[in-house]
Amino acid sequence: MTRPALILVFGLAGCLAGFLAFYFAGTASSRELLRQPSPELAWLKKEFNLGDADYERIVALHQAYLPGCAERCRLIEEQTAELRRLLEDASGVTHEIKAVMERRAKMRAECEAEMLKHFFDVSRTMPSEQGRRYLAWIEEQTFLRGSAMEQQHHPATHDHSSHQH
Amino acid sequence: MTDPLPPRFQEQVWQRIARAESKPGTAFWSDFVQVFLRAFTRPRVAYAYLTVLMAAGVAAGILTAQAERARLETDLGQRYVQTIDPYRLAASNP
Repeated sequence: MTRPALILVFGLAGCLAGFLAFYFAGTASSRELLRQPSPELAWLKKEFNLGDADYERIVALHQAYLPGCAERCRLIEEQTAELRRLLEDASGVTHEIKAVMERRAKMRAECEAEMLKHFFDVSRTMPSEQGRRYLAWIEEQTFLRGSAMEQQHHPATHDHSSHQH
Repeated sequence: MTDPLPPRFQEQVWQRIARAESKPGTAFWSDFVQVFLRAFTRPRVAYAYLTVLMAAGVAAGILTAQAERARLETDLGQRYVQTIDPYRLAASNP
């Protein structure tokens, strides 16, 4: 191979090597998060600069919250199935349909209240500044976001869903 | 004393000329590569080429890593939200 051809190849190889080295170095911390047993909680620790003790308490709160959340979801799903059964033969909104809808709405409100309580518990576990930031972010990401229908009628709220750090 | 020409020599020469003329792109690229490679005989050009390509690779690596890191971290944030907000899970899977 001639010298100019070698320079051509070295240039391309150097370009590729530079790309790979900086790409893998730049994504190392994110890939490390993905290797954790709970990547989403590991992300929370990194994002909100939590110490090990705070992180352990938040993991415990998270684990304690999940079974209750699953049970509430199961109850709401039961009401949804009941509503679906009633709607199959319905030609209008009957008292029975309305009652199921009200029960389901009440359960959803309870679910949201428990969720909010969990958010406050988690935020109190964090250092105060990070706790405030967490609370503002998670509220926007969850029930303050509203449904698609609400957003359609209030287009000005679209930007509220952005990641606020 | 000269060696005799191989059989069908003239015919093969004309065929090669015809092939070269029917592919002008090949000649263009061949000339282009030759000019490119000739430029590398000058050290300044060679160093500049190596530096620019290396810098381009590094810059592309940094930018791609930034985009990938932002995407991964956004995904993980959304995964956290989905674990505690069942409505979000339903909404994100239409």
